[in-house]
Order: sequence, then structure tokens, then C-alpha cells
Amino acid sequence: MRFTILLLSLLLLSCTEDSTVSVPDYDPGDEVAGMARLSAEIMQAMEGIYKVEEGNPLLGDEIVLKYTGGSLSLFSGRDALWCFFDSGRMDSTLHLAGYWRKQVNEETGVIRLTIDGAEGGGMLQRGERPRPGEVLLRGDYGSGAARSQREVLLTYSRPLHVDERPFLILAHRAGGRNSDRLPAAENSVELVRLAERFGANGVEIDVQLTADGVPVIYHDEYLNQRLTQKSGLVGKIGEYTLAQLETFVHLPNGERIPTLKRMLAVILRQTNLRFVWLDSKPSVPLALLRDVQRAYADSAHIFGRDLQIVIGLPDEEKVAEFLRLPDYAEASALCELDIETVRRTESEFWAPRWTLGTQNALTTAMQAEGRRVLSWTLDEPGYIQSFLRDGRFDGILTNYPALIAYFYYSQ
Amino acid sequence: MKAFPVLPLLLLLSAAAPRLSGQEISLFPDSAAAAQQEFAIGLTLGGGYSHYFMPYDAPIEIDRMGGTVNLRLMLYPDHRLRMGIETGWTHFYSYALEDIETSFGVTDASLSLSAIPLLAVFSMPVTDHLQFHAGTGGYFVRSHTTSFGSTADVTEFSQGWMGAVSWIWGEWGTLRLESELKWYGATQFDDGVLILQMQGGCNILRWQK
Repeated sequence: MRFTILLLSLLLLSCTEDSTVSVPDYDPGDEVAGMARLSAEIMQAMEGIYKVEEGNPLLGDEIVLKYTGGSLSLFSGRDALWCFFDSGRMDSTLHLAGYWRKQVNEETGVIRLTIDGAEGGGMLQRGERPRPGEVLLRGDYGSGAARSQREVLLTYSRPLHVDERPFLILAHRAGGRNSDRLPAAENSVELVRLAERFGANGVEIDVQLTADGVPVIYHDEYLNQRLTQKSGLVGKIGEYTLAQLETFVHLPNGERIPTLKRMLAVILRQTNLRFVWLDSKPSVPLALLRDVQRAYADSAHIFGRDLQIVIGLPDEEKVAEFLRLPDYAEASALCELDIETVRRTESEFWAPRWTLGTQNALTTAMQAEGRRVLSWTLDEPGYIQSFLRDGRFDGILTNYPALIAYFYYSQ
Repeated sequence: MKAFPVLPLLLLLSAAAPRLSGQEISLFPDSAAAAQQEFAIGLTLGGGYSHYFMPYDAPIEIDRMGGTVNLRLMLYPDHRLRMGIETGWTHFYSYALEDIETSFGVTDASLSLSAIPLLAVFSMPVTDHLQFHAGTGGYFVRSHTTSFGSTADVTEFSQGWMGAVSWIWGEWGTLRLESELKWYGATQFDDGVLILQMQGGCNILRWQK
């Protein structure tokens, strides 16, 4: 009997898997409730590189503070750390409250910062850009459920690095993968709303087709527990109609699988993202993507939005299908194959895999033809620094947009 | 359920082997009794109750109880490690939903998930009455849904495994009666059921070398 109990225990204990999303149970909005909101001008004036005087174990030696997605985010090169802040003003003091998360592991906690009126708060409220040393952020952070374990002191050092030509920081799967335990599911509407707060100014999203021909945002060919809550539906996503998927299937954050049109509508109206890479999966006819691309490009024009939607061409089959489109030369496309195929498809973008290296000669040749070059999917800090320093790319696709944002803006 | 504990099961079976009592089981050949060089093919047919034992994190009530039937065909060689195949049908879980709001309107919906196992099974008796079984292979998992007045049936293969312990109550000629406690695990969607069933076995072919 003991043997039987041992066996059954072994079987059951081998089956556990934690899928908790790793951010603190904390609403930073409560900290600044009742305060006057900071204007975009004040938050833009706060942008910059700050030297970390205290708090180095968490933040490293320097951090990037960036106004993005309608709020302030902090990026660090140490452990791909990011912080989302809510902000407010009381008298002459500016308050930031938020949570931090290291994306290379599951460490997270609460961080609170203030800028006293006499330590730069006054000049920032007048919208003046500080000089080095003129702004001090003081506060504390804690790990996990603990608060105020260590003090933080940040000193304004210099403005953010900006190139003449905007650099594209593209968030993979609308922000990152489910395995990164982000606050929302990959390829979800909730995550695309957060993409800018991770430092991204563009996203890549994956398009699949339902049984009734509706393009939806979902990475895999099959329904599975990596991407959805347990629902009882099995098989390929293309075996179900959109109505069936809406009835039974939820993403890990509880959201339904978004349609391509809904995702683009959210990007267009609720974000300032300027680039969308449609990664077309084999089931999706490019003619359908082209229609959607054209419609939303027109909408972006009407709304006065600087938004470019490109169709990804990942393989020869999609290239052949693309070339059969009657207006392929007018369609904005991104080709992942060699430069001859880029020229043949008249793609505006070339996107070589990052493992091929910086390829500066080819990149320069493509740029001389008026094309832009993006590297994918680059997550490793050493290579990110190397590609930014030695490469000539116009953008990088990554699961860690906060890390790219840190290394790019702190150049 | 990323782990696939058939190997630990087999290791445990192996570890248990030296402790075998060596008592003879009359219906099927058993090398522990004597060097008989007898072989047989046995058929076991069982049925009973299944209970879905895996977590279901979505905020709905599921019906975890259901029925199961299965058939096991085993080769009994002149040693104690027996091998064969198992198939059948088992209920995993089902649920019904009311007034689900979608962009297509409001609907009632229901779902039933079941599976047909197809497993290679290894068995070993540890006493006159007690046997352990472990299997590897897969399940044809079938999802049957109803919504908006229409149904959909989709079947998908999932890798999987089984582990079981059975107790022999008695033997009558070429027949015997057993109870079995069994785990069916389909890995793709982390599905698993605990099964309690009665089963009858018979020796359909026997020969001697």
C-alpha cells in the first residue's frame, strides 16, 4: 500500500505548473490619488538619463526615465528592469509611484520617488529642461510585498540620445512572450496598450485565420495552454469559427483572442505606436491582409496618425503569394529573406535574423535604395549593445523592449 | 503537465521486482513460480468511474465525473514483465454555459471533452493479487461543442501516459475478476483522470515452448 501511495504521489506531484503573472498586487494610482496630475510637458521635461547615487543593487549605475504611453517609465540595463509609474503633484513636489519588475527573472516590487520643489520640481513644473545635477529624485523601493526596504537617490545626468531618423523599438508579440510573465498575455489588446510603456514604438503581431475566414491575433497554429486558459477546445485554431472561439476561449489574462481589425483599431485610436509588423502565418491569405492594411492605412491618414502597417514575408511561399497581388508594389512589406528577394518584392523593409550579424555593407546598400533594415528577434544584452554601437539598423525587434530602450536612449 | 513520469514508474517497478514473493498465479504464466516457458495472450475488459483530477483555472464550474471503458490486450511471456496495448474511451470533463455574450450575440453553450487512449502497457505482478501497470503512447482527445445552435467536433492527438494498480479478486477457469485504480494523463492540455473500475480478464490463447 505504501508503494501505491508513493507511486500516486509521484504522478500527481510531477504535474504542477505555476502560471502566475509576476507583478505586485499594488495599485500605484492609490498613492497619487487626490493629487494634481502631471501634464505631458512636465513629464517630457523629466525625461533623461539619471545617475543612480543610491539604489544601485536594484537599478545599476544609470537609468533612463522616459515619457511614453502617456506616463513615465524607468528602464535599467541591469536585469532588463522596467518600472511603470503613476504620477501626481502636491504643492511644489512631484510624486512618482509604481512597481518595478526584472524581466530576466520574476523579481518585482514597489518603488516610490519624489522631486522636491527646491530640487528641480519647480523648474520641471515650468516645463524647463534641466542641466546635469539640477534634478534629484529621492525615494525608496521594496522587494515583493515589502515596502521601503532601501533608499533611492537619482541625479539628472543628461538628455536622452535621439537620432535624426527615428529608431524603431519593436515589441515582439505585442509586448513580449507569455514565458516572460508580463502583466498581460502575449498578442493581447491589453498588452499592446502597455507596449509603449515598455519603451516600444512599434509592435509585431501574429495573424492566424479562423474557420470562417476572420484574421485573428494568435501565434501558434494550435490552441494550447501556453497561449490560452484551459477551455476544452483542442486542435487547430483554424478549425473553429470566430463565434466558437469567442464563446469558449480566453487568453491567460482573461481576454478573448482579438481579431486583427480590433487590434489595429486599438493601436490606431488608443496608442501612439507608429509601426505594426503583421507576421502572416501560412493559413492567412495575403490578399486579405492587404485589404486590412489598406483600410487601416487610410484610417491612420484620416486620424492624422503616423502609423505604418507592414506585411511580413517570412518565406518563399509567402513571397510567391505576395507577388501575385495585383498591387504588391504599392503594399508596404517587410521581407525576411535575402536582399535580392527584398528588391524583387519591392519591400520597404529588410529584416534579417539577428544571428546573421550586423551585415553593415548589405544594410547600407539597402538603406541607399531607400529601404529600412530591422533585426529580429534580439534579446541578449551584449548583442543589443553591439548592434546599437556597431550596426546601422533602423530598428530592432525584441521580447525586451525595455532593455533596447535603455541601451538606445543611454548611448 | 510537462513531466512524463513513465520512466520513474518503470524504475519503481524495477526496484520492486527483487521483492516479489514468487507465489504462483494460476491463470497466466509466471516465471517466478518455475521455469515453465509458458506463454499466453490475455484480454481484459473494464469499465467504471472517472474523475477529472487536474486543475481547471478558468472561472467556470466543470463536471469532473464521468464514465470509462477500456480494453487491454497483453502478452504474458515466460517472465514477469508483461507488455501489451490498451485502448477504450474515457470522459475528461464537460460544462454548460448560459448567456455568453459575444460579438455575434448571446448564446448558451456546452462542451464535452473525452479521449480514446492508445497506449503501450507494461505490467508486473508484485504479489498473487497485486499488479502494477505503466503505459506510454497517446490519446485522441475529442472536443464536442455546441454554441449558437450548431455543434463542432474536433479530435486532436496528444502524447500521454498511464499508471495503474490492479487487485485480483478471484479466478474461475479461464476468467478472473479485478479492480483497478488508474491514471490517464494526456500531456498537451494537462488533462488527467483518476479511474476506479471493475474489470474481467480472460486467457484467449496459451502455448508452451
